[in-house]
Amino acid sequence: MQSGYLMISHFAIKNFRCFRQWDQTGLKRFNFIVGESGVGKTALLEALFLAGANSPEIWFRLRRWRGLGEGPMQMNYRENYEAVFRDLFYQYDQRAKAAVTIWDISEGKREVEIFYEHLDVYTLPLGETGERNAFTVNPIVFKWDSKNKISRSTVEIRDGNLRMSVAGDIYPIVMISPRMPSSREYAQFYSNLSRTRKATPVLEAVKSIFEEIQAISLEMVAGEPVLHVDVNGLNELIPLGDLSGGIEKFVDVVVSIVMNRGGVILIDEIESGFYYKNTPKLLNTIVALCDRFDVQLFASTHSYEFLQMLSTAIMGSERTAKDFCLIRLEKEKGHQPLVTIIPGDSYAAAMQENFEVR
Amino acid sequence: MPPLPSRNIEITGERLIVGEGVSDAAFFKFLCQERAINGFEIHGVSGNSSFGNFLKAAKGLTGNKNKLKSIILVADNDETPDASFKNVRSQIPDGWGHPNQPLEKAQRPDTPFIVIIMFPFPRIGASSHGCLESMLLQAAQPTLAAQTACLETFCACIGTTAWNITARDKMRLQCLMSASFPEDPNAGIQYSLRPDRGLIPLTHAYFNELADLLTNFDTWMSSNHVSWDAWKTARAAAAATPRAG
Repeated sequence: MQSGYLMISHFAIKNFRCFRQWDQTGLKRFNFIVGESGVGKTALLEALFLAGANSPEIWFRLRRWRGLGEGPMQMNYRENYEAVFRDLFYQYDQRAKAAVTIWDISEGKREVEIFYEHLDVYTLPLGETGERNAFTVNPIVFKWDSKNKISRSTVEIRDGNLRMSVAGDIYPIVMISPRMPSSREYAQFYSNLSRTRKATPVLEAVKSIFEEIQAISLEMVAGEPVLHVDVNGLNELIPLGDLSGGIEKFVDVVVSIVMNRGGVILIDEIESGFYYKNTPKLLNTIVALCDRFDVQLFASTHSYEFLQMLSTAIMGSERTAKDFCLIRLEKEKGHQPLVTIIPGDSYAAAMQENFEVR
Repeated sequence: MPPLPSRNIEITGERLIVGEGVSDAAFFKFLCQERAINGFEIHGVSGNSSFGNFLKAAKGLTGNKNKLKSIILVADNDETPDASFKNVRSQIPDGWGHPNQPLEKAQRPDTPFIVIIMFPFPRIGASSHGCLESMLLQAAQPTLAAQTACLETFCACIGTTAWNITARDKMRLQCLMSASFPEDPNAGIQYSLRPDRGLIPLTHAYFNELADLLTNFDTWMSSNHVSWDAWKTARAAAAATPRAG
């Protein structure tokens, strides 16, 4: 393990999405999150991602990944403005302050607080009768506290658009969602690695599983950079996404690990898109890369099949058993989810004895 | 459409019985059914070396929602009662209570009570050697008297008196079940135990003490008495004490 390795050892979430108050210690290098749909697996990953961010833009990105906010937003009423943030707060109570705090083993505490700032500022939409449409904007504030340095970013309406600033430093944390459009952002990431001659591990990892792939490159398609692969037997390079959604996702994961040395990777529905016969190899490669690049992994899954493969793949040695835990969330009507942290050795035993762990 | 049931084990109850095999699990399931004993969740592991893995899993899954209050582990004495008990005891995870004797309870703070029952329970005559099959024979032989008489001849011919008790009783029960249920002579014990087959009546008096233990299990657990025998003695004394007025 290199110096500078962060690893989140502890987090606390307050009034965020389905979590009223959750304080969790005992996190490991590999943390897999299970629980039924809607219990809060994605919300946990989002909370960690927001804590590591440095701009409210992340919140809008998370909304898009949840299928919200794709179209233009009408911000000419206070209700519309607040509706964009309503589901950020526990039980939609926007009067409460939401907060996510993480503690890592190198840099200590980092926290984001999200709350409405009470200002007497009136917004008058142009071209409409002022009195009828005037509304008070209490702008939402994202406040990060990192290394005892406070940074704020307020989401404001300016000229009919949302405006927000970048605040402070960013934490090396990456989130991969099954709903996120991959190509452009990851093409950029790959380009950064390639330019600095750091992309070799990506190709090695991909070739170790998909032997037919000989090379990865960036090519322009209609003015956009798109990742292409050189496949044995084909006369032309083809876009990665055309080859396989599973391979594309794997490349996204590998690129995220390689470019995020010493950081944290969050993967929602890790099994999604992977063919079951390839999954054990993919998993072994992801685990090995996380080890090599000192990356901590948080991943959610629904799949018992994946968990069985995981118990075989990751529990091969005593070291990884100790570096592993399952975070099990269970619904509790009217309350926040119940949480059980299942240690690696108990998880392996549970899989051998056919216990239900999801 | 109702949700598809999971085929995996989910511990949701307060009281758990874990037998060393599927036959033990079937025995407790049908015993509880026949004796109207409720509230036990029953599982079988794959042999008397598999308690540890099962309990490690159960311990790890014990979270806020898990209401597990007590676990009964059930295994055969076979020919070495002390060693068999120690084998089960040694598989209880660290941090949980470790009973010192069969039919004693043990508990650590915020963990379930642990009780180990070694079969045969109660003893058969003066011997504690044997297994579940030894117990089942106590009820099956009187019920299947004609077949039992033939079995005695067969056993004498085979020379089973030289076998150890566990092997002998397993063979005897299997033969008795095969001879008495021609529809499926190859059926396992878990099927032969089904009350509708009428082969092994679980209402037989031999099983009364085990049924008594299960019926009064919660009361014993909430008492100050560590052993089942001590609890029974106290119960008898209380029953013998004349009531005032």
